[in-house]
Parts: sequence; structure tokens; C-alpha cells
Amino acid sequence: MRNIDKIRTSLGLDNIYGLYFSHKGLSSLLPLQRPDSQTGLAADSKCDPLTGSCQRDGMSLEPIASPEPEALALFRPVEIEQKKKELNRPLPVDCETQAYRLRISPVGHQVNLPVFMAGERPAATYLDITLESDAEAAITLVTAKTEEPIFLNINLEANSRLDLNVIKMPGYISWQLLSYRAAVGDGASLRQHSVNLDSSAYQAGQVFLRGEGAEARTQTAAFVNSFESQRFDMTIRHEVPHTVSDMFNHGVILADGFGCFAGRGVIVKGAFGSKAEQDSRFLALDPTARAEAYPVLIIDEYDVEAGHAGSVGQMDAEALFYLQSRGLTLEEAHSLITAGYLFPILHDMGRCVPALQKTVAYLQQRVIEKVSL
Amino acid sequence: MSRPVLEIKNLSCSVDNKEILHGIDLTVRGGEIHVIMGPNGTGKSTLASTLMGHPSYQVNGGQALLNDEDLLAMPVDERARKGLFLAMQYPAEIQGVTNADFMRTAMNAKLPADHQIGVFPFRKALNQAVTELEMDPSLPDRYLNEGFSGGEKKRNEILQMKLLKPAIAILDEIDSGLDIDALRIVGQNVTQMAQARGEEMGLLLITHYQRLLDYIVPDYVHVIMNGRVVRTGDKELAEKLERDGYEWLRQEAGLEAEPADAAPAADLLSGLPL
Repeated sequence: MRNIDKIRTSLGLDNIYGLYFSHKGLSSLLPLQRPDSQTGLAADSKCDPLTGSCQRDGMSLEPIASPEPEALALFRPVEIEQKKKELNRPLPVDCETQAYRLRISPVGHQVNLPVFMAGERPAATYLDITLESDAEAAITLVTAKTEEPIFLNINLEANSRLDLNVIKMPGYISWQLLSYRAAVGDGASLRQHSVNLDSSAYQAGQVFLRGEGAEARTQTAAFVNSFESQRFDMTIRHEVPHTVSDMFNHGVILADGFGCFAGRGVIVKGAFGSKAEQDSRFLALDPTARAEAYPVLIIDEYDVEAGHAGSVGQMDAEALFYLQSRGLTLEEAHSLITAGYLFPILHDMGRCVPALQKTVAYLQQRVIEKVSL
Repeated sequence: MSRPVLEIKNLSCSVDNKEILHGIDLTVRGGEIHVIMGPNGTGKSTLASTLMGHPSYQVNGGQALLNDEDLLAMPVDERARKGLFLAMQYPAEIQGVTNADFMRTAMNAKLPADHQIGVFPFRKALNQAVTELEMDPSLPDRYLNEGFSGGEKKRNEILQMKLLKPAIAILDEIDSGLDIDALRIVGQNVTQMAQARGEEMGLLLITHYQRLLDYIVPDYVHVIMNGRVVRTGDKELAEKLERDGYEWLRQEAGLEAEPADAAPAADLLSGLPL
């Protein structure tokens, strides 16, 4: 079985159509269970392998010209330059890209599209994603052993809803570089979940709430291994009234690991009635673990609700005592609390996209294995 | 199961280098219900936490034996597996761990590896306990104590006691934060469990108020003052305390008032630029 099929099967994503970016470029993945496709390699009549274009279930995909470096430069937030020294692998913006445009139309249900990026790829990947008015989609981006940058340019038209799930495939350790920009229109909603349980990563997000009633909720679960580093930069700008944002990040760091959550909630003048919340926390499992949490709010309007919390700490001694007082050993209590630190993000991902229940169960199991060591 | 016995002999202990208990003697046997009362700050909860092995409490002397085994030499989890249970005054909130997952882990911690409880028997027992305690049916799938009201937390402690079936259960101010109905439900459940288990379980209740004893009738009532047991009686003693307060007992025992913990406000403010 190919690695890509093992990954799809492990995540429970082998029975739905998906996109696959590999060293050969883009290909489509058919459900593995289909009798005419035991390997997932059978020709897809709805996709043209020569042009890379594809149309199915409200989705249309076509190649586009690679964006200019100036356009890619927008994907690198200013703060990165300031913090560059802390990044072993800054986000390159003068690189060659393979660029595609993905449009999703409303079809009366949530379109579920897994996108796999695995192995060494010939160039960075640029995806221009548009959800048309009233469209609903879950895009689950899975990366494995691929270090080329990924750029997502997302446009959510009125009343559309996107669940963007970014999963670094456990066990396939490699750098992950991802940056996305999202414009959210009237009444539209972006929910983003990121899960990385082993690899170094840099992930940036810039969300622009541009329509009244627009919402953005982002959640991150990070398990930082020894000598790895994971950094998440997230900015959400409230540009019009009555917009809502919520960032929720939890990370666990082993000895000599480094983690950083830098969140910025910006409410511009005139964006009254908006709400912005942030909660970023790290659990350090060793005195040599390093972590930084920056829950920043920049507010230029009076009539708003905003709150932020950030913490870096060790395990709560009272919680350990409580679990031990019920008969759990210190090691069992330690494991349960550590796993519980990341589970709320996984549980929420499963609630937002019920089709990902098997994916969530797989990730939970990986967390349990890691904390049981 | 044989009749459990918890023997506390001349136990003294400190918190932050300040001695709180100055020699407690108490024996609780299976089938008995003991109640500890006393003014604030006299060491009631200190006794409970010390017996369970809270790391903030240092034992200075004395013994605590559970079925003739040295409780104080055991780590916290071993005390629990030997049958000691503490329903806490302020149970910890643990995000991401559901009540059901935690309870099953805790129940299995007391069982041998080849006799672990299965999912279906566990769910049946859990649902029954939830129903008996008139709790929210969604409770098993909620995170452990997170977002629970004060009353829900206390009921959740009793739920754990029902499922874990301890030999000696210590309930530390289980009645605080409960409304009238919740107090009745908790009281009735504790009494039913005590009756059903008979001599297999002994109970040690810590409370400030006689009202809990309307539902859980004690065999013994002990009063702790200044870190010692100064009087032992029955339910009538609790009623007298409710009626007359502690001053008469303090005078009878020749004790001075408890030293105040907090420094006077004037001292706290001294040195500040006012």
C-alpha cells in the first residue's frame, strides 16, 4: 500500500474524494473502496490529468499563474521579520509556486474535501480558495514529510462557511511551513483547527473580517517534541461592525522544545459591537522547555467586548493530587492531564465536522501514545 | 470484604511550618458514621487532607493506620487503592478529560489487569448513579468538574464515591454550596449507600451545620478545637452546638480563642505610600 493510502486509511479519509499534491504534482484520489479503484490510482473521469483541472460536487479546480513575489510577501506578517532570529526556517516568499484556484459552490450540504501534501514537492503550493455565497465546506489539509511552503488565499463570500483543518500527519516528521490569508464576508464564518503533534512548524494566519456578522474561530493543538519548535502567528482584523473572533490555543512542550503563540486581535475604528477573545496556554513538561504566549489586543473602538488570556506553566499540583486521590498513579495522572490539555481542540474539530470523527479518534490515540511515554 | 478500621493516633501536622493538628485520636470502623464539627480554622479539613496525603501538609508525629497498615507511608494513589476516599471541598477542574473517561480509569485503577470493567457494565453503573443523584444526563460526557456549579461538583464527588465503593470515605463539607433539594439528594444517597454497604464502609463527615445530619444520622459527633478533639458525643451534641455555638465548649475545655490568621488591616497597610 502506498504511504498516501496508509495516511488516508489511518485518518478515516479513504472513502471520500481528495486532492493529492506530491513530487509528481497534483492528482485526485478516489475512494479506496470503489471496486474499480483498489489502489486509488484509477483515472478520474471528472478530472483532466493534463491540465490539472477538475470539477465535482460543487468544486472546480484549475491551475492559475504563479503569484508574483510581492503578492506572496503579503503572506509574511511584519512580526515575523522582527522575530526572525527565533525561527530556524523563515517563510520564503520569493519561491516558485504551483498555483491553483479552487471554487466551491453551494450544493445544499457541507462539501468535505481532504487535501494531502506529502513527500518532497517540486515547488511551493499556492491555493486560491473561494467559497461562493451560502456554500459550506470542510477542507482538511494533511501534510506529511513535505517542507515546501503552503500558501492559502481564502475568500469567503456572504453567508458561506469554511471549516479549515490543518493536520500535520503524526509520525512523518518534517518542517511545516504554512501561511494563509482569509477575507470573510457578510455573515460568513471561518473555523480553523490546527493539530501538530510532533514536527517543527511555522504557521501564520491573517483573517480580515470584512462583512457585518462575519466570524472567525481558530484553535490550535500543539505537542512540541524535544529540540523541535512550533510557532503560530495569528492576526484577526475586525474591519466592520458586529464581527466576532475567538482564538484558542493549547500547547504541550517537552524538554528543550520551543513553542510560541502570537495572537493579535485588531478592532479598527468603526467596528463597533464586535467581540474578540483570545486564550493561549502552554504546559511545560520540563524546566528546559521554552514557551512564549502573546495574546495581544489592539482596539480603536469603544463599543466592543474583548478579552485575552495567556499562560505558560507547569502541571497543576492540585489537579494531580485530585486524580491520585482516586487511585491513579502519578504517571497516569500526568498523562491524563497532558492529553486533556489538547483534547478540547480535537473534540471541537469533531463537533464542527462530524465526518472527521475517525480522524479525531486517530489523533486522540496518537496523543495518548505520546503522553504515555 | 472484612470490616475496615481507620485508626488515627496522636496525629500532629503542619502547613507552611505552622502546626495545625496537635495530636488527634480517632477510630472509624466499618458501619460507623462519624461527624467532625468545629469552628473555622481548627484543623478539620487539615485532618482530611493529611489522611489523603496532600503534599502541602507535613506530618510531625503520630500514626494513621488503615486495616493495620501505615497509611502515612503510602503515596496518595496507594491510599486510594487501599480504600480511602476523600470527597473534596474544592474539587479540581480538569479540562479535556470527560467525567466518564476519568471514572472508568479510576475504577480500573483499583481492579487487577485481568478484571477491568467493560464499557457496557461501566456505563450502566454510571447512568444509574447519575439518575439516583438526579444529575444532568449529559454529565458523563462533560469535562471533569469544568463549568460545574458548586452543587454539581459536590454531587459529582458523591457520584465518584458511589462508583468507587471505598472502605473509608471522608466527606469534607459536602453540604457547602448545596441548595435545599441538593442537600436532601446528597444526604439520602450517602445514607442509602451506608446502609447498603453496612460494615464494609465507614464514614467520616466534616461539616459546619447540623442540617446535614437531618439526612445522615451519625453514631458519633466529635468537636475539634485548637487542633485537638475536645469533645465526643452523639447527634444531640451537634444539635446543642447549632443552638448554643462553641463558646461554652471553649470555656469548658479551658481554651483560648483560635489565633487569627490575618494580620490586622493597619499592619497590612503599614509601609504603603498612602
